[in-house]
Amino acid sequence: MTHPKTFTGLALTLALISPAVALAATEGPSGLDFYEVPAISTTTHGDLIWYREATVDLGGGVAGFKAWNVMYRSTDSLGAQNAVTGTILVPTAKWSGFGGRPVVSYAMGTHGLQQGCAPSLQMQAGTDYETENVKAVVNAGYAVLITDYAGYTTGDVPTYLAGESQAHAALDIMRAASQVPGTDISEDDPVAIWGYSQGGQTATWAAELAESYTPDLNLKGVAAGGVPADFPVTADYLDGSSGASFLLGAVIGLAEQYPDNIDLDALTNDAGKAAIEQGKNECVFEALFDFMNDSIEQYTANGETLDEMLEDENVYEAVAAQNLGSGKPTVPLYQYHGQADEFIPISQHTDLKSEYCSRFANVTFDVYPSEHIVTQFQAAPTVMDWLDDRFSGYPALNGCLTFSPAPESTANPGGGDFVVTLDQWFLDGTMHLATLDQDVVLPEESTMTADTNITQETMVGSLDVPDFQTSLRIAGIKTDVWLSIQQVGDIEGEVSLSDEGILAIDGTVAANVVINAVGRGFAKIPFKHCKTEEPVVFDLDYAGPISDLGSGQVTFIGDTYFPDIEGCAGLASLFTALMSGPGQEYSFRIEAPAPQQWK
Amino acid sequence: MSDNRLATLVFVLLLTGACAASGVKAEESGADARTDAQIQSSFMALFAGSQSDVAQPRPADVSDVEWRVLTGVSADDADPEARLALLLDNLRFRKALEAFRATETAELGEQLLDALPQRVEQGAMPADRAQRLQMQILSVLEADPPLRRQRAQEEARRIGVGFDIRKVNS
Repeated sequence: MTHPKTFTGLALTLALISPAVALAATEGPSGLDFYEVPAISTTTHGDLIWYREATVDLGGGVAGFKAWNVMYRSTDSLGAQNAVTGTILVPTAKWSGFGGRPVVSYAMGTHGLQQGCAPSLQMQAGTDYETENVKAVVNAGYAVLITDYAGYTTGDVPTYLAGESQAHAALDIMRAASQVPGTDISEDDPVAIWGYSQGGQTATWAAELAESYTPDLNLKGVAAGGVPADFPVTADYLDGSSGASFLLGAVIGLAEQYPDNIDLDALTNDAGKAAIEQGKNECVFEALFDFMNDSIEQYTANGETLDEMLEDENVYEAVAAQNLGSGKPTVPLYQYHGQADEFIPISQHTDLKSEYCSRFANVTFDVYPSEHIVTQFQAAPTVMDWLDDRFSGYPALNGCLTFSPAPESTANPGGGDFVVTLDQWFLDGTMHLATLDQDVVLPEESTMTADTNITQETMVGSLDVPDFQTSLRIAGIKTDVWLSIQQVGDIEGEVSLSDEGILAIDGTVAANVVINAVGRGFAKIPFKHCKTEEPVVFDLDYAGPISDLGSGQVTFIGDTYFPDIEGCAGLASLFTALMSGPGQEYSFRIEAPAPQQWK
Repeated sequence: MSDNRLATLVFVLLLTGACAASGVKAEESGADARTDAQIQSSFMALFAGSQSDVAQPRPADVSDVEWRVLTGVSADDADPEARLALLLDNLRFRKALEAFRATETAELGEQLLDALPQRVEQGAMPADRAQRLQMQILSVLEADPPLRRQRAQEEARRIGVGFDIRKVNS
């Protein structure tokens, strides 16, 4: 590929070097001093500069592990040496599988450009929004290597979305990890790379570059989701849309990597300069809301549009240099994308699959039904199964023999409110009848559909519960009960997403519980109007990390009051005594529909 | 043949008999095809096999099927007598409410109003639901709007709800 103008990146990096001189494999300082780049004696990419034991908070439900921070040598997109920080997690349980413990280089998605947004610092603080995926790897017994990417060292600016730089960082951390005392990681250990969004871009670049950049790496496979593969197309999709902050970040990051191509000072007006300063000092969710739906022409010196900006040969060269597909993955590649992705268009990712297939790469492509953030976490179990198979040595089935057309986007239109649509999500519901002390489980076909408007902070939706039969033991007699849950009005509520990535839902849904019949076996006593005389009100309250939405962990739990039963052919009083009253507990868990393989 | 299987047989025979009497098969019949008595008869058959160890006799205001079901449900409880008393209380309250709605007699209405504070206190009914019932009952008992408002305030206080009704000048 043609590199944009050679940049004096090495000179800039060297200018940040502090007087301290680090030797290879020395223990680094505590606190933020660790992120001060020392004088470096090694010139081999992947060599460890320094390390320290670290405290990492992944929340609950994770197997025991030890953690280290590392700073190591890597290479930016222009071939200049740089220093990159990262984190190593190694399960404390002895690896019981065949050969060395597998290692996953987990490439994080967008975190924001401020130093405090760095994955290593967020994981230390217990605020990293991607911890669910990291936990999945640790719980599989694999070691996890997480690069911060270049630019989170003190005084630097991340070269956000500079594909080759990011890929180098994700590849080099393997060698660095093998040099940290006590990790028991060897350079020969089997390794895979997994990433989503920015991390998916990183992983895919690594798949293309691994053979030439780290030829000795024992790379078994790469999983990459939500990948921005065609930058001009993705930039056009983001411009003036809900994900505009990612475009702003890309402009800042690429200008940092290619200052000779992108002269931000000359290209921007005062508002643009202010936006850049603000963008450099925010983390991902704060920036998402602050710049939502902004257009690039608001910030350019003479109101140039994105297309006009890309007509500049130098700018275009730097942007197009991030396009994937000029190389070929030499290991199996698992690609996946949300069909309703509102940030990264699915079409340019399916195009990349076609490109790789034309080069006889081994590629599988799964289409998830939801939007960008949901897909990031919904895919984890499938990705882990795929990685397990690669580490176990099973051959990856090539999905290139495709008979169906590429999936078309179902994303909500850009430029308006940021709406996350839950389209016919599985509803795993249980109600506990207090008096009878028994559970009623909603049928498997039950679904919930809702539009969660993050901009307006509203949620509107509906439940679809097919009529169903349940079995209750009443007075020692097994009794079949045929029920309907008839929703009254819409699901309504408030929804918010905090700067820290915490999703909060405060909603309600009302429904009449209808007893259609009781009986035993084939013999039914039908009722025509037997139901609660007022709707039952279920509060739908939830607060947790946004990743819970994708990982199927959003569960509405509460207790409610079942009103009296009416219209049951003289049996209403008895049914009321048995079923009505307070303390009726319920649990409604929602989960996105399963992905489909595009083949 | 076990009690349960015998009960099922009796239930099916009664159910099909009830349907045959009305000229339809059980599987094809709708609620319209049966009288309340037939439905209650079928329901009675469904619980013919239920047993309980409750020694006390069935109260006169509780039907045989209600007694069988409620004593059967209570039998599983650690304190069957207390559980049965609670269930009977709920049953009787509901019956009284149905009777009041059918007859709109003042005496029944007052009895219901008197029962509500204890039901709220026992946690059998939330205060907002109890207050809605008070308003329903008072709309029948008290024709004069100012008096009804005054009574509503008094009754609301009995269930721990305080509010003022103010005239809004248009």
